[in-house]
Amino acid sequence: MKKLKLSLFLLLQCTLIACGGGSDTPPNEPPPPTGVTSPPPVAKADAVRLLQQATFGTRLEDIAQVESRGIEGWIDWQLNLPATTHLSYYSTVSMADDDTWSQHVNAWWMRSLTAQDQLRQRVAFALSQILVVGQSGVSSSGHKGVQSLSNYYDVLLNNSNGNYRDLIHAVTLNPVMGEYLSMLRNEKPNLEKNIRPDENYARELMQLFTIGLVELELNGQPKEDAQGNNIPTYNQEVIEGFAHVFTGWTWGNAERFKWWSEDRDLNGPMKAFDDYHAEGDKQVLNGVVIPGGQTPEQDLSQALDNIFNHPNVGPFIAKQLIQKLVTSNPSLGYVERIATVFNDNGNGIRGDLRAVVKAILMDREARDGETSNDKIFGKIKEPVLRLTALWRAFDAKAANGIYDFRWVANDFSQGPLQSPSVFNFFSPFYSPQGEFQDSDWVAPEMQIHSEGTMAKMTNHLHWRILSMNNYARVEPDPEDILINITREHDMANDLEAMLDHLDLLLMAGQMSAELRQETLDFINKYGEENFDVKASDAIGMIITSPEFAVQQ
Amino acid sequence: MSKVNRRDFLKLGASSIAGAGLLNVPQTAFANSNPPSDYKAIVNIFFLGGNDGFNMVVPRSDFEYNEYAASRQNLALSKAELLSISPATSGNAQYGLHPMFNEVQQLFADGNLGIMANVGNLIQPVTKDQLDNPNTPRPRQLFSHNDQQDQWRYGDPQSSKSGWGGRLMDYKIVDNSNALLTGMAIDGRSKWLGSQQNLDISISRNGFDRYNYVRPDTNWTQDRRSAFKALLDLQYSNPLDKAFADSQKRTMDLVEQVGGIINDLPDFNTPLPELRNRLAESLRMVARMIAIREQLGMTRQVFYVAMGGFDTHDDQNSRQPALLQQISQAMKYFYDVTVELGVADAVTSFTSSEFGRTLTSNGDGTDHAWGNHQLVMGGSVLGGDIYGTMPSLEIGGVDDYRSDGRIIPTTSVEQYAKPILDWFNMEPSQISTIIPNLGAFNANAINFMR
Repeated sequence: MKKLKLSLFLLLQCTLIACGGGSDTPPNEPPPPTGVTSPPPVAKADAVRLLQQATFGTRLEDIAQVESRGIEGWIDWQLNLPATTHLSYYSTVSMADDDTWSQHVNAWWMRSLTAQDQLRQRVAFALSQILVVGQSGVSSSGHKGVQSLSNYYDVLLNNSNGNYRDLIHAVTLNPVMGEYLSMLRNEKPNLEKNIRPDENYARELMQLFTIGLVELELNGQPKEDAQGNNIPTYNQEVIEGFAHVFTGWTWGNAERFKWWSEDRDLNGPMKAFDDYHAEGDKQVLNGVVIPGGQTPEQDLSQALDNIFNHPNVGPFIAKQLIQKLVTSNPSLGYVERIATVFNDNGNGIRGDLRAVVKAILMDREARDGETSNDKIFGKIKEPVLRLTALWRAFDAKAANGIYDFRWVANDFSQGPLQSPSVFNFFSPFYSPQGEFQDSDWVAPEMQIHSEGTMAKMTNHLHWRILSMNNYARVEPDPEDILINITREHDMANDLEAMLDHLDLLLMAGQMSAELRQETLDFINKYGEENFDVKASDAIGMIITSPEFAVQQ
Repeated sequence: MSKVNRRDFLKLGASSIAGAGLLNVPQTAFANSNPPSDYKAIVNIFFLGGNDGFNMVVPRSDFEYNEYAASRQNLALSKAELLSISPATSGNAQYGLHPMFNEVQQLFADGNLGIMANVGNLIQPVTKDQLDNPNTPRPRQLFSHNDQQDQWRYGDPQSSKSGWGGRLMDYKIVDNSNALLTGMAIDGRSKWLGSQQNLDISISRNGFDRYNYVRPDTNWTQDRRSAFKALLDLQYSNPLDKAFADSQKRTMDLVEQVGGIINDLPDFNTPLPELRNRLAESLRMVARMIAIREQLGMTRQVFYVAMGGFDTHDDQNSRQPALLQQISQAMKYFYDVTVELGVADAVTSFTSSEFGRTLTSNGDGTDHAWGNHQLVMGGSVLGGDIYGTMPSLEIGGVDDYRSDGRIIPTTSVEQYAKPILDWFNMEPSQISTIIPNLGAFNANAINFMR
């Protein structure tokens, strides 16, 4: 902006004084069209870095979008796009009555791979690994069950550019979460029968979805008391207080509290029955007591306000979103800058996820890879994101028009809404033995890259690249998802040019000389021609390499 | 900026093998130098989520049963359905097992399984009165899953850098030809095996997947294989690249050097339980690793297996029986396989779980609590007995922490571990490093090993 104003000024001056030749500062930039400010230019490699952080994978046309809109313009454009919902997927496909198992995964592939609102989809995926529900926790199988999982995902997606307070309200009352963490049909105490309210949702809402276990500084570091100990955010009384708050709720179309039907509403918000709601005072956070005698809705609203306004929410959520999108070990300053935006978006609004996501991606640490506090920049890519990156880069499609790959977790140790527990596939605190632990670094995704899983992941990627491309599989079955490498095939008579292209598209121009040389040496062994295998093996080398596994 | 640094050598501690040259197989010569009689293995079977042990082992004598039934209400088992056991040294009270524990009942009766009563994470022995004083030390974040799991695995209130299985392993890697294989978890890394000198290896219960497209044994994969492996051997300057490359390399070594031996093993004669049982499948993998111990030159091994699903906040009465049936059948299966392999006396298995569950209910399920019963199994276990102290199950009674049925442990995890470490031939000085807080308790209160 500064540069632009200056050149306009010079241009004006020159016009006024009729500059001739010999000026020290020739106006070599053309004036922008009236009323339009062109974005600062973006190097292609920088565009790919952004796209790795903000989408499910880079296509050439995505690079062009970032170039034409600029970094900020692209982010704003993305965050303004309407959500391409997952529930709407089911109206576009026909599903056999008896073929419903994990269909929500197919919906996820379709949307994650093809939706234009890539950034919102990517944020939803991050949120689905913070506000976790698992497929195994849904009691209803069949079409309603899988669609309710997609509907839960849509709650995350619809709020991905909204407010975190609205998000936790919607998640709290979603019946899938209600079943998963057993708030649904949680009832008031009955001392005669030794029954007290279920503490499950109360505990995990605080521990995992909002504030965490210990009080945090704005920069995400745990606070310490005078003895150097961490300070717990809540105690058992507070858990019990919230457990009493979350009583009386069941399916939104229930006729009575103790009611069940095949037709129970698995999508709409739960509703409350006053008679099953605990009447008494409820101890919540920061010494606040919610007074007895209120309605379930009043209690819920005040309790969520109480949690939402806890100072931990900003740093707790900011850090995890940074870790999911940009870097596993953000500097304290980075976390603090994003938590500050969470606390106030600049217009006095707390919890504005649109502002938070934009700030995460616009931050100098994200853009420049700048680090401090002896941290390392970047992250191990989540396993499924390596596959989506492949599929988007090479326009993967099946003849039947769907992406039928529901058993993804078998090979990638991860799948949408398929976590084995509310603690997600990996912990944000996981630190591998050795250098990482010694340096107090984490590498969360490494937790699922083990000696029992890495061969599966590598085999699967090799298979997708080397066997499931449009040259290797000439008579595909309708459901075969094939990558299209015609473009690379046609480049393979000039291997240096092809590798330049793959370096940009897959590696944001960060490929090491060694990876490039090993790849060249290998595919050169195919001799003349053989452009198809040269292309596919070059892609295979890059995508299964340690360097591709890391996003920087 | 160079991503690859060819000049730097791996920066590793002098005694560390992490990331270094890994495997050393086959070691046929070791069959002679380490006779099988010297072999020992420990297996930690972890029930994730908090198993409700107070419905696993249940009082049968009138007074204690009535107290149990009054506390547990609609979660209580009927006295008639309990499987009877006759502990060798029990007091006046009688106990029974959950009706799905048929196989455990038999293991107990045969003297190959013992019950460790009411064990849990503790900083020091505590009574309810002492806990009323907020200054009395107690574990951090009581009732939180991951914190209590971690504390159980660390076995050290002061540190979170390594687990007690890992520290145990560090002493024993010198005995093994393949140090890296000293500790292994099945299907997921475990902090219990975390250590300063070794790695928390995790393998799949289904065995080792060959790297199909970079195989060593087919012509068409050789060029790709060379290139693929060359990338794993680069010295990456970025620790993330290096962590990934090291893990991939280690996996390849394991697959190609151990996987082949495992895949050549004939099936055990002992059949897997008829009902699908993931815990039994995990234990089968442990048994396979034990079966090839001589080829690998292993004399001491430490294994970790886990089973999920125990966080029964809902529908406990319908969910728990299936869980306990799996435990019972899997443990019997594993014991029988160790008999088949001739190592029943050399393998000791013990169960863990982050906490027990509330005696009170939340309607149809239970919440997170503290003390819990565990099982210890093997030919060297003094089975057929209950160890430790059975607590009062009265709501608001002497052992009820908060008067809602969260039972205070009467034995610490350290006291539970101590006899197993003794049996593993650990020296007292080593034990004080492995479980440093043992001194806060009576170290010799519990001994269930022969």
